[in-house]
Amino acid sequence: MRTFSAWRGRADTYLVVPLVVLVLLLAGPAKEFITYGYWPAAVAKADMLLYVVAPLCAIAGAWEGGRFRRGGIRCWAVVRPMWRIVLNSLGPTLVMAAVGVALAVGVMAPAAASAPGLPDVRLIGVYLLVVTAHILVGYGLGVWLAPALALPISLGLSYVWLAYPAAIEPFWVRHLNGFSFESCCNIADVPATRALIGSTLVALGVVAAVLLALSGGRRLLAGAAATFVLAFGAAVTVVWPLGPEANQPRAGSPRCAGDRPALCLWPEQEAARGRIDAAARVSRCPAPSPRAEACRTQSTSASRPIRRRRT
Amino acid sequence: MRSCARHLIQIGVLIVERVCSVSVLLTNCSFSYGKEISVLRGLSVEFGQGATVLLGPNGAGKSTLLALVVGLLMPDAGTVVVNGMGSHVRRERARYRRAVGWLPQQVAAVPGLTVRQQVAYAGWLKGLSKGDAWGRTVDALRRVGLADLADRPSTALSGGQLRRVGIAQTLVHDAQLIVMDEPSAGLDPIQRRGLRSALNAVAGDVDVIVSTHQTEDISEIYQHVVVLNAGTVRYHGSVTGFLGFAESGADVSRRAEDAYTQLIGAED
Repeated sequence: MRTFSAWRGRADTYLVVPLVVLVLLLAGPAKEFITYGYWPAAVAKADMLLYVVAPLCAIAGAWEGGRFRRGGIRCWAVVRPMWRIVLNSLGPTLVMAAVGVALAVGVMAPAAASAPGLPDVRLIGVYLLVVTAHILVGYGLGVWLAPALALPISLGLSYVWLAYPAAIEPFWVRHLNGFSFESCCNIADVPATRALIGSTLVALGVVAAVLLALSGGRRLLAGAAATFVLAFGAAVTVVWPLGPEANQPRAGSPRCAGDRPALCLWPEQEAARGRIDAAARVSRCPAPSPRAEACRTQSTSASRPIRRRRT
Repeated sequence: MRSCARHLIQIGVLIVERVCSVSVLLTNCSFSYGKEISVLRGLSVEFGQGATVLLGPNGAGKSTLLALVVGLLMPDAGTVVVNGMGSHVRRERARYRRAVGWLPQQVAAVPGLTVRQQVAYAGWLKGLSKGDAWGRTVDALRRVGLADLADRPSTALSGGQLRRVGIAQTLVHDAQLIVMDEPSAGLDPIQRRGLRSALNAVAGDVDVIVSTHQTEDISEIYQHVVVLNAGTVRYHGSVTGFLGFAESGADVSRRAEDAYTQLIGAED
């Protein structure tokens, strides 16, 4: 099916290039603090790259909103519901958002490539929803304000909402924007469900409120405000008990094996059980001496059967 | 007895003819912008089939009346009915809006769209499928004489061409009624001529209501005249009846101006 707008007239056509470049450039520093071999940590660290993705998508949304405004489409006495019009207008921008999120997760994925399990789809879903909310806010600003205001404001607002809450107290503020997972996770933790729910509620509230407000009418504007306040209030209630980090203990417990010492490891660490076991035994040997050498030899040989079993 | 029955039948035929010949019916319509500015107060008027020109000074309430007919505004009191559909009936709103084409005072070009894309987009916004919208665009542009400019960016068009794009936007979704708010404002004589020929081309097929200050070509295009002043109807009837308010002897253009001045009651 043909689209109504030409690609060359869309902002997302051009913004997708800096988006890809910036995500690739920032991927290196973002990987420095990652817990290797653990999918939740790899996906959670991707949100350090979304500081670039969301503002750029918000600008693209503002540009499309500006086209809606300059075209005077509000005065066309349209039949289609506003959400269909917005979806049609923002389809390619949403594709750009999906590319950005996929790329951000993709560049982090090698850090967990050999780990068992799959990327945390809940986190990816929250990222997509949050970036969509940023696009919708940009679109709304584009419709309501002149482009000279809408574009910088959508860029600034998006960035400030992502970056600033982490720097202030109370702590619950930082769990509402969907980008509090960058400190997540060591291998005994997973992303906090409360933070996921809180971010989802705020993002959904923003999307619904913008769509309602765009649909026009004083009653709908009041409904939009009420929707946002309700969603925000519910989200605050959910994330209230969280501390500074959006982590929670992982369900289940590590599998323990052996004695003196007993090694308790998570599934992601099982591949290294032999090496850890050997290292643990060596660390229990006394200072260098003929007896200690015998001890080390014994420890090394004791670890061999484990390695052989794995190969 | 027989003559009585025939009389009743004649009355019935007259009623049916009258109802069928009415395209738009506003009944006791009131509208205010906020609490202070009351524009229309209990206005009742009907627009017959064919082309109607709506005349009146600035601030008379013409644009508000047209916005009520289009369904962009809802009356504070009263009803607006177009071809039997009420603008206030929620379940009929989509059908109503699709039946009415709207050409606002300023037809804006949507940045990034060609003429063809803009007209097709307007059709889609009025509820056509994308395939139908694209399919009907060629014919709509041909009818307003813009087929040659279909692939030009709409932002590159002149004011007169944009108004014709606006008319094509109303044709693409098969509007039964086209409402135009001062379509010739700000156009030079050549552009006005192009617009007039486009208007003539469509006026035979659909009902048209045009608000304007231009009275010189009133007898060429329109069958009915409505004169509005300060939110009330000063005249409603045929062009001939309207021109009858003028002193005889002058040409049609002067007579129309004269009649308008007589009805509005101000001359300076």
